[in-house]
Amino acid sequence: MKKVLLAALDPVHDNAVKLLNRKLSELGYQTIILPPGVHENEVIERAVQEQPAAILISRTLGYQVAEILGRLVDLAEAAGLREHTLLGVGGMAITRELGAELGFDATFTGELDIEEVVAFIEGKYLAENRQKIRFRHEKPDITGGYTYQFKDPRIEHLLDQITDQILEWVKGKTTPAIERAKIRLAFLEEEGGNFLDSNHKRAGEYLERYLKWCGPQVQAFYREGKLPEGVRRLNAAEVAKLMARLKQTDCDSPRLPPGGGKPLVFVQYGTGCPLMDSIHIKTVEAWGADGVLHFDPSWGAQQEGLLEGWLSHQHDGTILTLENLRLIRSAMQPTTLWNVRGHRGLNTPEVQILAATAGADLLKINIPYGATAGGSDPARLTVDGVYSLRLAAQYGLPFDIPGNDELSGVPPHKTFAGMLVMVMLGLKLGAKPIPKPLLCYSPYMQIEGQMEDNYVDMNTAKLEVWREIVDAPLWPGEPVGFMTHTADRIQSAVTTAAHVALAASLGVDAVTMASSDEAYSKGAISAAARVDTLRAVRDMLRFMGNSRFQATPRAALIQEQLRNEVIAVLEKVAQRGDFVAAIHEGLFGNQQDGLYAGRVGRDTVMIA
Amino acid sequence: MKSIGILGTAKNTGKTTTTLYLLRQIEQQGEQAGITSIGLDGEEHDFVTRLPKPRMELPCGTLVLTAERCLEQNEAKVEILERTGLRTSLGELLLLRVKESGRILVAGPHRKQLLEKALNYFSRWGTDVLLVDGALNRAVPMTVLDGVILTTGAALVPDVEGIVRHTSAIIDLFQLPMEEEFTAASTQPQVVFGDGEKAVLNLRSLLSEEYLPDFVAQINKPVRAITLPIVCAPKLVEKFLKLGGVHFTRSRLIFSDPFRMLAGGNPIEWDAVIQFHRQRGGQVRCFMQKPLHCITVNPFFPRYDPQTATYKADRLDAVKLFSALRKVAMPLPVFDLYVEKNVDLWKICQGGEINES
Amino acid sequence: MKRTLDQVVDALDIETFVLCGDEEEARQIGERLLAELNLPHGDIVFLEFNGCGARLRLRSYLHRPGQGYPWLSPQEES
Repeated sequence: MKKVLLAALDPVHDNAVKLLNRKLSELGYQTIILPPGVHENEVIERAVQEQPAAILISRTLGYQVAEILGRLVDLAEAAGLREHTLLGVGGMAITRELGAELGFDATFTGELDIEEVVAFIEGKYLAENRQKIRFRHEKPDITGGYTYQFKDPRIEHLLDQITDQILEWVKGKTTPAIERAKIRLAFLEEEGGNFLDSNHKRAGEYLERYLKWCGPQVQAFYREGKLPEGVRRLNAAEVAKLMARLKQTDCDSPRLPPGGGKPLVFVQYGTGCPLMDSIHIKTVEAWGADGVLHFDPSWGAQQEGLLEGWLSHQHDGTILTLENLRLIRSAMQPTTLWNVRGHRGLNTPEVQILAATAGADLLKINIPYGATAGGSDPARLTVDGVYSLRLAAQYGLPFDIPGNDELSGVPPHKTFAGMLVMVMLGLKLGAKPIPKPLLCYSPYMQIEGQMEDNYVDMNTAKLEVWREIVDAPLWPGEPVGFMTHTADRIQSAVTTAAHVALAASLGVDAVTMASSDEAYSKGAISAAARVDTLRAVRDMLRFMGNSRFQATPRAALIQEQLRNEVIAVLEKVAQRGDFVAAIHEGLFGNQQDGLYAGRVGRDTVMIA
Repeated sequence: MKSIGILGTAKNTGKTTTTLYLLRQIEQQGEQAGITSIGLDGEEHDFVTRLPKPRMELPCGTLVLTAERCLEQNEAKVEILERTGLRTSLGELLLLRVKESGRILVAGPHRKQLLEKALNYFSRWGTDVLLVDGALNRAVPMTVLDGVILTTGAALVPDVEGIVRHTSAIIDLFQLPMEEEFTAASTQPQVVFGDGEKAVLNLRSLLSEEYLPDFVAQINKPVRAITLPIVCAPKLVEKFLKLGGVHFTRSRLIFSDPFRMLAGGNPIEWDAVIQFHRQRGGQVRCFMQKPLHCITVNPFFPRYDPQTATYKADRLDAVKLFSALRKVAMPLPVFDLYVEKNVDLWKICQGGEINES
Repeated sequence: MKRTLDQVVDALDIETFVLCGDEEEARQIGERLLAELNLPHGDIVFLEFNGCGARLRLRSYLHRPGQGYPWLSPQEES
């Protein structure tokens, strides 16, 4: 095996040298490690004797670094070593520019990457250096390997009853959203996309049919070109500039969990502007995120019909149009996972269509949540939701089920009951559900005193109870650590990282995490705030490695209690025999819990 | 093709300024100029002191050899003439022609063997004069070039006497006479004793005291000549000569070349060795010599300000510095290119008359 | 010549610690600082007073989402 000479030109060995020595020895290299603080003359003299394949130098002190290392390189050259011996350098004081000025064959910066070092010793480094090592090759499948088998026959039976009732109830019903979705699908099938496209022969005809089912604001947009207040059209030059800029960018980056593996890390975006979103997405990709979730403005969800074109506005949430979605997708790395939410509002079916058309990987549908905290009328959203699940199944796209109604103060067992209904409903329609229990400082559980000692027990119980019920993927959201963040970015990054670590410790498949601007409400999330928490999460996951959190025995008690309460809710809902009525009557969360049935889209369900 | 290396004694001694000065003159003569660097040149700010550096602005038509990764930062418009397959830590070396003048980042062949190969590429594309920018503390790759210009200044040591001593010592190394009688028959040291016996000494470098006793033990009778084509530290050569004592009196000491000597240690220490040996009637020679065309001096130096933890530009008394330097360098010309705008550097490098304008 | 500030994607944050007597004084210092630096859309993101001073984080949105972004234009020559 090849001989490698290691030397730290500092008074003490830095850990990189010791680590290299151990790892290279383990790989079978014959390593010679010189005492710390060795003079450059001695390094070269020893190298002349040993004729190693490579000399690896570490230098962490900045003082005289260039002078000393330059001399060492010249000595190596004078000793005739350079034709057979490679010279590599690394350490805190070393930058790529410095390594190049000093004439080293390779410069190692950042964290020690043993594979990179070995490739270099083996003479492959320089060749491979031309083609950057790629960290990501394909999109992972979150639902892969799960059977979706219910482990508790009682719960399975109850869900069966409830979902059968839902499917029976929606039969023969339609809504303006479904009618628009059908028109949209037919138009897309004819390779249309843009209703205002003068090049498409039948665009005008489709638009007329579409507008029949739209609200006044959307009609005014298409008929009179009137933009909703605060909305601006982006011009082609702006979009072209962004695309030109992004074309030069490759944001392939190492995954956040050390060595890859679970969990996938998702970040929400929705600055109001697809151009700014694209920059934020590139930023989070470069800092290690695996996927992103599109957030749209709530006003868009409250009107019948969707706008079109490249649109921005100066408020939270980016307007859902096919063009905006396509623009955002084209800015992403091909390996980035993309979720577009349509869990509430009056355009749920159409959102699934646009998302799938633009290349989304994941959808988001949750009827009980959308019909309460999401503000949509329960009957309307039930009809739209079932139709949307059918679309998800047709597209083969998994859909996730957020449990964020818990934030209003709903007890988690009620939220979970609603999510379980969605799991079963999705499965029955051939879709692949992903439950998203919320890891947070649960308002209800605070009041109940379940989070007084620590945050681990409660959150552990919330995840473990799902494992006890069904063999499904788990994706805590949304984002994790909700209600623990303050406007202090350090505090915010710490609690986010702690929650991601807990989720990772419990073996979840994915997490959604916040930026350090999560608790700041007076302005848009800044790009810098995205970096803050991704940095924190990376280091926290590194810190934790394969070690695990240890919950107290209380976690098991909470878990058991949760499970019993979930069953109790499902029993009540099944007994009620009317899912829509169950939502109205607060079985998934009532006024005392801070939930009200939604009103948007009331009385719009029609007989087909 | 003629190749000239710009050898700096420290950072900020004016290597880039000298290179660009010469480059302009070569272009004006209608000759095809080529440029490369054994380090990294053309950064906007020095990566140690953060002080701004002269812009490496290359005229249209110049041939440049630089690493692929430097291309991203180029402001000049360039045409890729050839991919060389030669690799450095910044990627493959590419031979370029400047199409539109602008700032350019140059990081070329980082070791001697690659520089030697690079010469062929330049010559193949019709280069008349190739300028090779040096790098901090690295002289040996310059061995393969036709000659060098030395740049020094206050950045080396911020006092006139220190600069003068150092410069004069380097000049001495380049003025060591060439050996004509003996040849470097081996890569290891060889001794010719006074009685005609020859011996190859088992030594591949002389950089620490470890092998010194064995080495000295082999010197058991008067020496006529000893060749040292290995890398050696001047302090150890001095010790070796002292330990060998009378056996070395009037002997001839032959080194490989001034570049390797510079790699082995400080020129002032070398000067001490040379003086010591000469005082005992000995001679000091080199197997290979290269012309030192002239010396350019930069009175500017970066002074560290502990108050702000930054470097600030400062300068030495130029009049004192230049008169002292010219005295020791005679007949080698010494210039302040920041002040003297009409020096015909190119003519001097061709071995022409000194133009004291 | 483009301004360096044009390269800031969205917000410019200033993090500091000021000596002051109470939270209100800290707030005033923060607001004055933003005004002195002539930064647009200034706001105090975070303020925590304890003992003798306050931890402050000030923010100015140089470019808000939905506006035009100077960083989209390639760097021009001076």
